[in-house]
Amino acid sequence: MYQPMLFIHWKQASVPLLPFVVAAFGLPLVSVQGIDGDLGSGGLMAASSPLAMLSLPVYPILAFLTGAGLALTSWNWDHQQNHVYALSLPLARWEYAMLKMGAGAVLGLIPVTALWIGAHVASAAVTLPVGLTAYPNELGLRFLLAVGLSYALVFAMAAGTMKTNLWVLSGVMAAAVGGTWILAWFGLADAAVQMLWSAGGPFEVFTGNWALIDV
Amino acid sequence: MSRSTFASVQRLAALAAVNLTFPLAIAAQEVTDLTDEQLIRRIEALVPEYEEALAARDARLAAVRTDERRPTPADTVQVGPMRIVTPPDDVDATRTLFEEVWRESFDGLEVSPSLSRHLFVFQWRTRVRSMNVEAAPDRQVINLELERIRTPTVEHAKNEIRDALSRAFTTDFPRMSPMAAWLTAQGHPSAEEMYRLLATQNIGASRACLQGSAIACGATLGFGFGNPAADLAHWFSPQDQRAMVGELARRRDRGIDGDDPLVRSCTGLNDAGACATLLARLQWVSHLPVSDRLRAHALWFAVRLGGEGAWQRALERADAPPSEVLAHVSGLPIDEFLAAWRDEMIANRPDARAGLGGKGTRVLMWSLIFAALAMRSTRWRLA
Repeated sequence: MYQPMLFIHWKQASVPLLPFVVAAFGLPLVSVQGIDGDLGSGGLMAASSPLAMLSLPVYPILAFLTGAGLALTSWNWDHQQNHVYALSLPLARWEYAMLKMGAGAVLGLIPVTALWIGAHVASAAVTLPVGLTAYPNELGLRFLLAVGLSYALVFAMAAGTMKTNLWVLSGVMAAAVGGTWILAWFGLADAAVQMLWSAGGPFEVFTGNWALIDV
Repeated sequence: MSRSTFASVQRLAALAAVNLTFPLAIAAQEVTDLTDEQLIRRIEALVPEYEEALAARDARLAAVRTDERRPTPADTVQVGPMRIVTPPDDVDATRTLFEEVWRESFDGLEVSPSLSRHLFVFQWRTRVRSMNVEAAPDRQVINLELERIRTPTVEHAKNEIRDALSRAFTTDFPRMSPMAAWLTAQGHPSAEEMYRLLATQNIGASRACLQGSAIACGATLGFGFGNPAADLAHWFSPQDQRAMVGELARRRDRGIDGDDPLVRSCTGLNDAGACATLLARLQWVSHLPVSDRLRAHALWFAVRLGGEGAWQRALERADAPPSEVLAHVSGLPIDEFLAAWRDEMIANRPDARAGLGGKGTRVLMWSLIFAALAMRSTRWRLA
């Protein structure tokens, strides 16, 4: 049952996934542009080069979009066909969702592998001075986890009803617009940020150090 | 508070207007029964009530505006040698924050004369308000008015205080002294940040420093070029050396004159040997292709090493070359100090690995939670 599911998802996702794969491979290469181990112009280098700095926030954004894109292509065709195919299968709902999720997770390895290879190629392409190190494996692992998390989150939302999603999205929007001020008013901004984005929070993987080359 | 109060007063006024117009609307139904003269009399009878309501509204609005303009009263807190003005309800928080910063970063600096010349005006609240601060002609005011939205955590607030205090300490040194140049507007650099800065400088001196050369650490900080072991050609590129000499010549600083043939050879003819000879003559330079923050960090580290009396010793040698000051303040020979500074840098190397450790497990756990939610979806039951 798993193979057909994987095949269907592949048919749905292969074209939309292509830009993400290209971006995942190219981003590490772009981020090391301008890095040169030779002495010369003075100032800062490597981790502080403009492109390296610019690319830092792009990694988590790319990871989120990749995971979200995969999750949406996973359910989109199913919703369009009113779940006729799913209901015709001799499977419980949870089994079907699990197989579908597993298929998407495997496809998620394609952009992750692209980024991992790109990171290794980029690391090999530059000469790093003493004190700086390339972290292609760690970056690849972080990207994998971030893609997995955003995939699971959007998959869960896409699997739900429109009503549930409207509630969730409205809640998020309301929190984003008014929450910061309200929390700041009560001096709780620190706690809220901590809860969502710092250690233990659901989105902690998107924060932190995404540098390919660092100290 | 004031804006929302203003809005609520406006709403009250609107409500009052509605209350007034409501009877009018009912009365309008009876209008057909009234003559023109009776109608005019009734309207005229309502005018004083209407004017009274308007006057009440204006009085309330005026009171709100006056309240808005009235400055918050202020209390004064004394923490060590620091005098801090703060709103009465912030006194405890202010004392705690300043005490912690003092204990963590500036313990032993009570001798600083600059602190008695400054008055810190501190607030850390959602909306900063003007405060009644009594004029103190003998004190320079440093405003530390932090909005919670921009300074959300205690650590952010402490960093702001730390930077403000560091800037105040700068005025301890004579304006043209090397140490004043080292500290100007640098704030209080954190050790992790400094390691990253040292590792990303595009000069050979900082790399040699990281590899263990104490004298190269000195060159990174701007001194020790005349040492026989100095390796200027590997520490600074010819362009960097030319820029260093050129800047000194431009300012006619440290005896470097643009008319000197050696200086002309260095800056005009790109003679690397001439640049190296000139730099080797100098005990220290102020213009370097290196972040100033590293020098500020070295001085604060020397003060920390020196312990009690360190700041006093720094003030005693304010006009001395930086290498002398650092040795005097830290109580160590300069080579030992530089080695200790390098060790401190290495010890504070940030854990830059994206390696996730426990984070990986937590991310997996969250992913599983979301996956479980997907399994429990109700879409099919509703479809």
